[in-house]
Amino acid sequence: MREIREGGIYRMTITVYKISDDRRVVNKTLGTAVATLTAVFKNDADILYPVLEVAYNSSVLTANYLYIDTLQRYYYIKNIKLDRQRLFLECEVDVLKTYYEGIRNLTCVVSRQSNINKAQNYLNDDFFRLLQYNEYLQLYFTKGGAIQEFSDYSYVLAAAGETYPVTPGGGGNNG
Amino acid sequence: MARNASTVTLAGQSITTGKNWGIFTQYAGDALSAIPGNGFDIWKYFKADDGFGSSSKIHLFKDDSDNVLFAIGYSKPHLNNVYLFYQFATQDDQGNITYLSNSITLDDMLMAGNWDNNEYVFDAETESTEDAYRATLFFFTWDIEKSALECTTRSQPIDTSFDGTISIFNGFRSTSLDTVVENKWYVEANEGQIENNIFVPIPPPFSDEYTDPRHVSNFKLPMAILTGTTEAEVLTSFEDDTDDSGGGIAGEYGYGGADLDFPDLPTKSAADCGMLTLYDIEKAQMLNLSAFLWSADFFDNIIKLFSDPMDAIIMCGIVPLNLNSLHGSYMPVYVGNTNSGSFGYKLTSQYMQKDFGSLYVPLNWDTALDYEPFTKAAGLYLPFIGVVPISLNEIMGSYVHLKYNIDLLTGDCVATVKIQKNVNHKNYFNACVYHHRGNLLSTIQLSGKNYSNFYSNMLNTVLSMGSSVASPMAGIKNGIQGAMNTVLSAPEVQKTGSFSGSSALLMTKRPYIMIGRPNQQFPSNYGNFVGFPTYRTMKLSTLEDPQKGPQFVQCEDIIDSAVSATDTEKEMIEKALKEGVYI
Repeated sequence: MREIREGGIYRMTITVYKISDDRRVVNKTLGTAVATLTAVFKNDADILYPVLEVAYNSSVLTANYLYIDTLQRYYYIKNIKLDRQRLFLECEVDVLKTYYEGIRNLTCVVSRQSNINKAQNYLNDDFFRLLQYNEYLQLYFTKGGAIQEFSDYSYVLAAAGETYPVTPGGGGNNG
Repeated sequence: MARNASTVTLAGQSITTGKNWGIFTQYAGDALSAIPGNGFDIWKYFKADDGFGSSSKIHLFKDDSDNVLFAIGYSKPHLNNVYLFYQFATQDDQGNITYLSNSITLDDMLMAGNWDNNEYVFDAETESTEDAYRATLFFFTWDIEKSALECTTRSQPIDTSFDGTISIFNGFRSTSLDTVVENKWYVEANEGQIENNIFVPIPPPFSDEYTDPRHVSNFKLPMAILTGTTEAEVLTSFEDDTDDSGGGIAGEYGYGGADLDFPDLPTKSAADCGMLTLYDIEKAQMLNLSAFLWSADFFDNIIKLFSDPMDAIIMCGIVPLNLNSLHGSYMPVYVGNTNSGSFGYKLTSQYMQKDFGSLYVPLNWDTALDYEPFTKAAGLYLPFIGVVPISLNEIMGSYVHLKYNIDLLTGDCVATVKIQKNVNHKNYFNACVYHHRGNLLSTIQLSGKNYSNFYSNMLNTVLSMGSSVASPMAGIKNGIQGAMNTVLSAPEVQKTGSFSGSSALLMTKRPYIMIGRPNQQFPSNYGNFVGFPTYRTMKLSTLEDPQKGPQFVQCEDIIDSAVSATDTEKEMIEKALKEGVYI
């Protein structure tokens, strides 16, 4: 533990970074640390939204991210205030980076994700954006490679009686 | 490990169209109307059923050295596309065959087959087996004008450490000949995986001589792909999906027993019971018959009227059919047991069936877009019946088979639509589901009754004239009046003669299904912006892709929390996951 308690004040080491990742990236790329500083809590320590007091350091003014070793948490630098050669860093915990290992081992019901091979493409996608015009397709029935239709015509006649009517004398053709 | 696809020319050869493309099996199916010009007869080299249970063949190709088989079967040309279905398997020293997907069982077919050299050949004649070799689908587009066959596949040599994870699969899409690249046959889809099925672009095996019934493949890539790949490895990424606690598997569609086939024609017919006779009469003979019925010999006609020959004609009309299949003997036409002097073919049955074959309703997106409410069926047009509604959800990705059962005596017809469907290529349905009635007979109205009235009036005129001999002038007057009455009650051929099916005869006589598809605006990198719908229970680490970088994931619920954080932090994590993160 690197914190030093002097006169009731916790002193701790913070590592300051300048990151460019989207806040939604879980495992943010830190790159090279901008500075490593000693800081104290300005007021009562809020582990989620702490305000840290550090000595003025111009490089800190370009930073937006830090790690507090004492708390083992990553923080966004939300705002920086200056007051008589002191910098006050208003922070917000980044739970994604802090608990990256735990998060990646979470078992979840994943509603959406990037890999189309693992998607259920037949779920209705609320994000579909459709053009106003449709494409029309006419499908024909085929058989033996040819499109089928009614293409022949025949005269058909139904006449009463049998073609070769049976006669009382023993049958046969009366025609 | 994902692989980069590349394009190779197989064996570097220029394949002679219509020769080396003679692969797999013979095709005896349908749906090849899209072949333009003098295309080679691809159906002579493929054999597949029409989707409704006729005979099909599937061939297993065996490579002794690699001890691996792959089966190819059920090639289905449709419009501009050829669908090839194949399945990988391994064989041990005892000849036991293990297939790399539980969803495919070929046991029934294997029992009926036999080894012929290094090829396992069997016939599949039962519909129950079709599902098996449709389980894996591959997509080729051909251009019969071209001479080269190229196939998108992995680079050589094959990395034997291949771990079974297959990269992007773009799904199946229809491609028209217009989009075919010049001088290339090519594969539309990249390798990939959908559920339990592996999709690997493979070229068809080709033989030196297309008439070689064995069509032995000399293409080894598919076999090498299998090296080091086991079923368990292939399915690793989906193992959570099969967990009963997790869900994620779509509900199964029940298949409730035997297929519901087309209705048979009645076995009893009015044409064979002696009460009447049906004829198919050629035009010249119809003219003869007409001359007989309209003889100039007035008294003959009167005599015939008294014997009511018109009533002896039960029906006379035009049907839009070729009746050759029902032809019996060519014989005199008898009307009321009187030889008319005309000849015609006696029809052996009152009923006939016209088979329009089938069509396949292709998936376009392979997503929910292929179904309602996005894609819609404008209707099924049935000649002599009209446009009838049809459910697109029922026919999408299905074979639709149409037959008409026709009663030639009345002209009534019933169009029956049978749908053979594999829901998501997996669930089976095969039944007649639509029946629509119409009438295709265009009746030639002989107006017997009207002519009877005509002749009756004429006869009355004559009789009245005869009865007025004592008063010649009165008789003449009455006769003239009777003649006028006769004229006024003229036969009304034009008025009463009707062609009940004439309007239908003038309409399109080609059945079709019309569907409307949406056009999707699909931005690039869509998946990484908003993700694809998934709804599966998964471990988030399985969604990581170190090569591609952070992958979008959005969760609906956390099943198992492995994070040691404060409650507030857990709430923050849950909130972030529900809003979407990149892992």
